[in-house]
Amino acid sequence: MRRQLDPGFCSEWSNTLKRAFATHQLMGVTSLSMNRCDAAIHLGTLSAELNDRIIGQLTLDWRVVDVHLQRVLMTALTGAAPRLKPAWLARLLEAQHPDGGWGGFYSIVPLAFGYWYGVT
Amino acid sequence: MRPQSQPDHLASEVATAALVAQQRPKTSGIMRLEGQPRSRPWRIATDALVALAALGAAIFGWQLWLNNRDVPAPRAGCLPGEPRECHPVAHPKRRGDSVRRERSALVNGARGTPIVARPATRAPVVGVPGAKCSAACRFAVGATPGRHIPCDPYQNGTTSVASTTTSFFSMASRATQGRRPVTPCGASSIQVSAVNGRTR
Repeated sequence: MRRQLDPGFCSEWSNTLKRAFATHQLMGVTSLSMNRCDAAIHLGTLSAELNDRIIGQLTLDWRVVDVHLQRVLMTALTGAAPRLKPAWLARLLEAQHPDGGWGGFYSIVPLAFGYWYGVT
Repeated sequence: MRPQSQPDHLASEVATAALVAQQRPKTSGIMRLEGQPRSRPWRIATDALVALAALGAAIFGWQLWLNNRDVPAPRAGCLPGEPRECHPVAHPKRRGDSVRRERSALVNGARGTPIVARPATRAPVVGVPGAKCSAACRFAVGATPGRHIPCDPYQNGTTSVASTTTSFFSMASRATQGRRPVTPCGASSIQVSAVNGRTR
C-alpha cells in the first residue's frame, strides 16, 4: 500500500502507447483527499507530481479517446484547470456525440465506403 | 627506357581502377554476390514501406500540431461532471420546423432529440426559433437554459469508452455537486486508492 504513494508506482506497468496509469493513481489520491485521509501523507505533493505527468501526456498523446477524457477530467478536478490548453477542451467537445457520450474510436482520415482511418 | 615506363603505366591503370571502383554506387551484399539489381516485388515492398512510414510521420506531426495549437477557449459546452448552466446555442432553423414541434421537443425531452431552448428570460419558445442547448448539455432530459445540470454523459448518452472512465465521471459528478463520498476514511477508501490502472 505504501509503495502506491510513490508517484512512479503505476508507471511500472506503463508503456509508450497506454499511459492511463497516472490518471488512475490520481483518482485514488483524490479519493483519499476527499475522505480527509491526508493526515500522514503529503497528498498535495503527490497530486502535483501526477498532474505534471498528466499534462506532459496530454501534450504528446493527441488521441481523443477515453484516456484523454480522464486526463482532462482529473486535471480539472484536482484544481489544475488553468493548465489545460483550450485546444484539449475543444477537441474533447468536438468528439462528443450529439447525445453527450463519446466513442472509443478516434477517426483521422476518411477512407472509401464509409470507413475511417483512426486509432483507439 | 622501356623497363622504367612499364611501372608508370601499371601505376596509372591501378589508380584509374581504384577511382572507378570508388565512384561506383555502393550496393548491398546480395547484389554484389548475385550481380543482379533488386527484384521488382522487393523494390515495390520497400518503397511502400517508406511511403507508409512517411505518411504515418506526417499524420503524427499534423495531429500533434492540432493538439497543441492556440485556439480560443471553447464557449459552449461544459466538462463532464461539471455543473454548468445550459446556454442556448443558435443554429440554423431546419426547414419544416414549426413552433409546435419545438414546443413538443421541449416538453417531451426525448433522448437524442435536440432540446429547444428558452431564453434566459423564460419567454415563450416562439421568441427563439432555432435555438438549442449546447452539445454537452442537450442530452440531459428536460434541460432548459438557465438551469444547472450536471454533465453526466453516462446517464443518458451512448458511449463506448472503457468502463473505468465511467467511475471517473461519477466521482467528478459527486465532487462537483458538493456531495462527499459516503465511505469514511478507513479500509474501504484505501482500497479505492489501490486502483491499479488497468484499462482496456
